[in-house]
Amino acid sequence: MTRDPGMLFDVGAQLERTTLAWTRTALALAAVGGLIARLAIRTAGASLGYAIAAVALAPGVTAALSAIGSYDRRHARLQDGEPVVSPRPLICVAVTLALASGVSLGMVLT
Amino acid sequence: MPTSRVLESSSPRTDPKPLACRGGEPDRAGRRRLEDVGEEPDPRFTLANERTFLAWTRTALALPATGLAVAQLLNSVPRAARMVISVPLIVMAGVIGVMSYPRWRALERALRLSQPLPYASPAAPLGVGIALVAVAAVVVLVTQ
Repeated sequence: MTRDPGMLFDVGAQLERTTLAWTRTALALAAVGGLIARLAIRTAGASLGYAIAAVALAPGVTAALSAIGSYDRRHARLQDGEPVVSPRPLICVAVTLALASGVSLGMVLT
Repeated sequence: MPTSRVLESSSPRTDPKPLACRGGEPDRAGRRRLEDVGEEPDPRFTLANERTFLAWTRTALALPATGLAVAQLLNSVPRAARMVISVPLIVMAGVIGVMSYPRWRALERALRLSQPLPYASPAAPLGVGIALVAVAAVVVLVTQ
């Protein structure tokens, strides 16, 4: 069944809330990434520090950019009755969190 | 729950499977692929499950941020005392990072099989852990 694409899929605006949850998560990733980047530049010296900083900031930027297109794309899937489940970004976020914890622990202990 | 409106429109892709196949075929790793288990649930539940996962992630991300801040900013406090506060916070974040995806998957699987969702949540142990760290932080700040 195809619905009117101009209309919200459900009254709870579930997809909008989910997309905003992704945006908040991207901000949290960027904040922790920025903290790690700042400490890395301070302690590891300029060149290595900037390399670590680039890696640390990448997840937040990636998540924010992916959120931009995902609302329309997923809304279209909802309207078409297609599944919206997408495990891959969740795996990426979970791995990033585990890595950020490991790096943070390393920075605190050394 | 107003599920009927959405269930009516469930995609033709999810053709009814014989009951014996409901659990799906195991893949090479011996695990069943999520898409092969049960039936496509109401997409709003899938989205709610995803938001819960993301909420866990954000909660966990606040922990290393706090841990790093404690380790870097509390200069007047001896290093060992700072470690007592920051290390448990960061370790808890690591544990959540490892647990969060399997938990999302277990909930999604239960949704697909129309089973009751597992009630046990890591929220309570996490609350206890943070409370203990908060008490330790108060002790450190008062005695230093």
